[in-house]
Amino acid sequence: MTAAAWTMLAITWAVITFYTIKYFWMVVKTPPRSDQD
Amino acid sequence: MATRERWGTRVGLVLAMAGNAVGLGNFLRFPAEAARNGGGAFLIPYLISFILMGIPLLWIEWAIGRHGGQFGHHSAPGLLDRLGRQGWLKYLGTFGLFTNVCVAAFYCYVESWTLAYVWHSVIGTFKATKPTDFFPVYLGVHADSLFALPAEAFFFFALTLALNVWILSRGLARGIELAAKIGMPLLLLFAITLVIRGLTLDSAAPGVVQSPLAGLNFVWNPQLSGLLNPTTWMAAAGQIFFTLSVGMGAVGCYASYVHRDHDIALNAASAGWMNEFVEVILGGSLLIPIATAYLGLQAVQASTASGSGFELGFLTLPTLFNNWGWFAPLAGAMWFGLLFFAGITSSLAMGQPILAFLEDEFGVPRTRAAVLFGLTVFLLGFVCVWLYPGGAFDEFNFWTGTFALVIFALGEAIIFVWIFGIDRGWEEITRGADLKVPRIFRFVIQYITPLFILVVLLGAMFQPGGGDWGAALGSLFSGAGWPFDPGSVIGRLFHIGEPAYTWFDSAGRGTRALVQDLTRLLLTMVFVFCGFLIWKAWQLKARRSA
Repeated sequence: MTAAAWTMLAITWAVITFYTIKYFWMVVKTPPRSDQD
Repeated sequence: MATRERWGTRVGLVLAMAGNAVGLGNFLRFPAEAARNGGGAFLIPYLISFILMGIPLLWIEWAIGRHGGQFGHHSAPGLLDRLGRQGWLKYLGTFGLFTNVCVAAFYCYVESWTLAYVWHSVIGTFKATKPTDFFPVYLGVHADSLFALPAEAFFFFALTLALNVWILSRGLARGIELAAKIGMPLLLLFAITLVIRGLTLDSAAPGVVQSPLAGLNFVWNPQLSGLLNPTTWMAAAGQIFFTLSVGMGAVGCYASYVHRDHDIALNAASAGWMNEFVEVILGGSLLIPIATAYLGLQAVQASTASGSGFELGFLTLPTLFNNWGWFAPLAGAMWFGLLFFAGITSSLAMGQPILAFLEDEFGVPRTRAAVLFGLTVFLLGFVCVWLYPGGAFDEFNFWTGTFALVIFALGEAIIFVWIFGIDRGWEEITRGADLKVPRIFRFVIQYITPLFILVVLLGAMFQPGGGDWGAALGSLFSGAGWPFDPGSVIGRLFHIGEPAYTWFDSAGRGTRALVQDLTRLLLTMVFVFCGFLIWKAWQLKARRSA
């Protein structure tokens, strides 16, 4: 692997993993508001 | 009539939405598209398209869905009808019925192949038989024949369809949501296991000709010249568009079961990023590195040159797994198993809008609606199976799975911004949000996203031969005309590039052109019938309210 390929891979993987985990964690941790039906 | 069905849990809803987006293309199409469009450089326009078109379009579709759900609508005609007073809005929803039922027809067929391959991997078929010999026999493809009646393929197709109908008939929470809660974790487990096994292959292991990292390098090495090539940008935007399963009405349908004050902004972002995780990190590290290790980079480059990893995935990988000893059957079952889970979570999302339409607008009970959906998909799927060698499958794939989606998404974006109104639209997206949506996205949704979709549409319509837009413009201005690619919308429509356009050959036998044109006629009839059903539903509604 070239240094450029490693750099692209590292940056992209870091960004995608960060947002995937962050948002899914927020979904898990934030209960939906009580149903008003 | 309004149904009171709801998602069981928030996590279940997000997993179902992510499952809708994650499909076979995440593992087969993405790595090949990335590799042939500048490797790592492809990821730059790809991620920009995700932020400027993908996420905003997800927000638009979630907002349209949750808005319409308040009025008891859960399918595209009703959801769009609630966006304005214009009577024609509901008829754009024809696309939301047409695409789902037609895409399900060929998609369930491909899904059934993965199920059959799981079975054949487990019983060791690929130890003795090459997949390149197995697959044509499985499909019933014979030289010079436009028809096929393959018994085994029919059996697995019917089985897959029955499974879809059964899950759909169980309802939202006990069917679709449960399937996503089981399928998505298993998909991740299988994919991560195979990625680790593939990337840690020893260069000295039997059969290995090259380091798998050479394959990873092929996908990720940035060729920055690609950034200046419009083809790279169109390929990236197109990939984002199709990977998120937008433009089908399925996202809106799922979102219509969300309470009007519950979050959609965070849910949509979470499902979208989850799809990216599966596509870029897992999909980009699986097929090509493993294939490169055993075949060498040159062979992999040649087989992905068309932008599809289908050949590697179905015809090559099963043989390569034989190098893994006792793990081979398990690896095959995992690879095709993850493709199956990716497929079924998407095909269920195609069924739900049809069920919702029949339930909401015609009062058909859910189980009967599921069976009706299954029968319709079986009949249309029969055409795909029977006329596969003649090109019916490709016609279904292109016109319903590619072209119609872009048209519908463009219509949705324009209606949401310009008829529903960006002020109400923005309020709809941000109401109850558990995520602070940056205000810049209001501008993006209003101008940039529709423009992006328009570019994807024009790119698909006028794609020049070889993808060389500069040369095509040169050809146009020199008076030689626009060199349409045979795979472009215009190229396909007018059979450009085909040696002789005729319905019957000199011996009086039907040709591929005949099958293609008959398939188009059938698709047109299905489209018109969907429009008729919408007209009928609103007639009944008017009669009831009178």
